[in-house]
Amino acid sequence: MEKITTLDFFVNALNFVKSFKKKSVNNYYFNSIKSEALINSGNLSGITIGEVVFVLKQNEHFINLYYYAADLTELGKSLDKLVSIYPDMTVILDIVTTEVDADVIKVFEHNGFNIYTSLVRMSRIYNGMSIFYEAIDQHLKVANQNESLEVFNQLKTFFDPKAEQLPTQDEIIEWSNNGNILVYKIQNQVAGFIIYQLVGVTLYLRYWFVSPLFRERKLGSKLFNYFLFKGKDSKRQLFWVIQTNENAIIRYKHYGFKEEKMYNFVLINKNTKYES
Amino acid sequence: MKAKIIEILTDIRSEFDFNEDVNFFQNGMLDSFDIVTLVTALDEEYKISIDGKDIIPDNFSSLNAIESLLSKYGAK
Repeated sequence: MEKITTLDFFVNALNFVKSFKKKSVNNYYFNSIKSEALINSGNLSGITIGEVVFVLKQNEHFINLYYYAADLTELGKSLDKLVSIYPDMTVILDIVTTEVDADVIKVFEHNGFNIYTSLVRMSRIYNGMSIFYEAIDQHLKVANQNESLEVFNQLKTFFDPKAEQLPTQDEIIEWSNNGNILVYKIQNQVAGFIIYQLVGVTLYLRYWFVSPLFRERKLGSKLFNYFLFKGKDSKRQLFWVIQTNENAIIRYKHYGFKEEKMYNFVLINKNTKYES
Repeated sequence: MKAKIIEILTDIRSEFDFNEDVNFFQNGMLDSFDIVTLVTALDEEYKISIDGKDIIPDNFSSLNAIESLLSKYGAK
């Protein structure tokens, strides 16, 4: 196992699997900014087994697995070896696909992995017909740094890091500095929050949460409308939602969002399922 | 070829004008997940099989980039 210290590792991994001239596959969508942040975290390691390069990201209680493989057959063979080398570790990986029964998922299932959960992408096209309004509720605000750290703690407490990729503290600080965290404050507490990003003409909803103590008060709707107002100049709004979260999906549809044929399967090498 | 690429892109994201001379990713018109759909559509349309090593944003960030990638696979 080698610690990954430069972006060259990914380029070399691509060149390595390419050299076999087969139908290579990977689940790592290269992005230099994201990759650099991961490298800087110091938690990335790589290992080559046969014709596959595995990248492992160490988390507190599990490992995120990425792969570059010469083809699916080689992925299966090397995965079998990886699992036997590290029998006790909990491994999670994400596979994004447009098919619900992608062959790559079967490769992992044959090697002891199970679907932990699956997410579907929902989106909405802003056609100029919706009514946006400026937030007039005094409890709604853009989070300051302290409130953002409170949001960070709530993410760690209430979200499942296996099912939902949680941000690092550095990302939270950056989002906070950019005004991307909206909070609903009650009695000096963060009762709910939304984290969003506006990239060009697309508005991404990253996280939306109302603390259990403050539910059934329409705080979620107020936050959501504030979020839509903040993104009123966007043309497309989207996010990922866990497919079993039917209530949320119904709520999103109420806002005009539609499910896309874009799925994120979260696989785990244990016999366990996501619990909402 | 560009007209066909625009047609495919518009099928995926009908709300955007892909004739614009912009970086599709920086402008928020596509993201890394859209590449998955785009690759499938290009594979089917041009009867090619884009290799995993080429599935990086740079190869899909503009009409010229996509055209260049397709030419590499002999697409016409």
